[in-house]
Amino acid sequence: MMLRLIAAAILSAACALAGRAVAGACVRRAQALSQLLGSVQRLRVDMLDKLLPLREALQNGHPAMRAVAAEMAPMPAAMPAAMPAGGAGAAWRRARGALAARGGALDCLTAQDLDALGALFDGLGESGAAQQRILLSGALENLEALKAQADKKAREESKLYTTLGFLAGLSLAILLM
Amino acid sequence: MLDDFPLLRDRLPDDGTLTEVRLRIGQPVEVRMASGGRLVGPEVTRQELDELLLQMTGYSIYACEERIRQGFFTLPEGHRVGLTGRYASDKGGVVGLTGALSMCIRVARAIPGAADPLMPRLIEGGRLKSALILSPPGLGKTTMLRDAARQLSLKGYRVALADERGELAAPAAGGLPTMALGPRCDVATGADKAQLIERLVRSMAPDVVVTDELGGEGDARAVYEAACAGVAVLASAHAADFPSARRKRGLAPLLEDGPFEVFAVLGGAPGRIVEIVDARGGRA
Repeated sequence: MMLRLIAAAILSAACALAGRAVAGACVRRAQALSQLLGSVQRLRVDMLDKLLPLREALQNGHPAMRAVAAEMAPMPAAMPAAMPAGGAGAAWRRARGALAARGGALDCLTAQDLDALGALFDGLGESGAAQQRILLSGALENLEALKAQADKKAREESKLYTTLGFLAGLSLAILLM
Repeated sequence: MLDDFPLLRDRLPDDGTLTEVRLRIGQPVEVRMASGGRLVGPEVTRQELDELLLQMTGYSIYACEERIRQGFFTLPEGHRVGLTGRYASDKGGVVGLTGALSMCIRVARAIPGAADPLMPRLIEGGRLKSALILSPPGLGKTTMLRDAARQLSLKGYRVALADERGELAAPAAGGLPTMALGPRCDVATGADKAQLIERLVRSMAPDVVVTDELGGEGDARAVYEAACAGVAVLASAHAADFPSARRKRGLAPLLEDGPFEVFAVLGGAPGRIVEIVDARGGRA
């Protein structure tokens, strides 16, 4: 009997953990948005305070930003003939598929999150400092709102799936006993 | 290379004689070589000129905004890109260029030996003299200054380059000069030349400060201070001849009672010294 009770407890705990893991995608989305927020803040400093060229500023950021930098034409002195023209917006459109695919740096983000990033990259670097400040502030506001939404969803889903997992484990244990 | 830009690709001569490229919306590209100029079609569109400007700034207009407002910026190879078009102004000052209509690209080129005619005038018994090179635009002041800096550096003098817009050293993306400047040359770039001169004198203890295109009163003050600290100054300024330079407000004090002992006037053809004048305005 004692062994059965222990097995039932282990089964319930394991199912609760499995439920929590199911909610992990939401947590990863919130974490990714948090990292992107930090990177956009750094990008603002690198671009508008340090006046770093866009490509160099992007290379200091989140892996997704580094991927966009890699897709952008290098500095004019080294622009090869094969390199397609276009700024950060065009580079983002080229990089988006690989970044959002399974195993990519942004695979946990939703289409809405990716569109918010697209809105940032479109026009990035292509105007004076005042307009860039507005663009970056808008992007930060959007990402903050999405992160708040992701945090809330992560909390709710984590609680829901943990409870569901625990209850499923408990039911199985009762059946076994 | 200029022909890496898609708009200029296949329109430029590849024999190394290119001196200037001019682009105007609605007109073919004007290409100038030492032997003359020609128009190369088709007409440039507004979108093409805007895209070229973005490419030249590395899609970083914000980083070049102040230089664009002043009318020109420098490419990593040292080529000077001049712009004009529709300006926005406020309270009597220009606040920005809202639409570029024309672009003039002046090709920078290192010509070893360009300063040979000047060098014997710069050094007298091992002592460096301060010198000012005068000429209208496009006659090789910057090329001569760059080569003089290189030669002085090779001769063992500590040379400090106050290179406000990067035209002398042509710094690459990481800031390292792409032009040959010899082993004893320190480069400061990216800020107002008066401030650069002040910092170089204080931090690098140079024998000579080299700078391009003096003009403002702040430049004159910085040159005075460098000379007072015992540092020779080798500089250039826009002026057709010595009397014209004397009439320019920013230059007059430097010419009347300044540290310069030698004035070289260029004219006729790029790099040709037509007159060397001493501090009193007499032929040296």
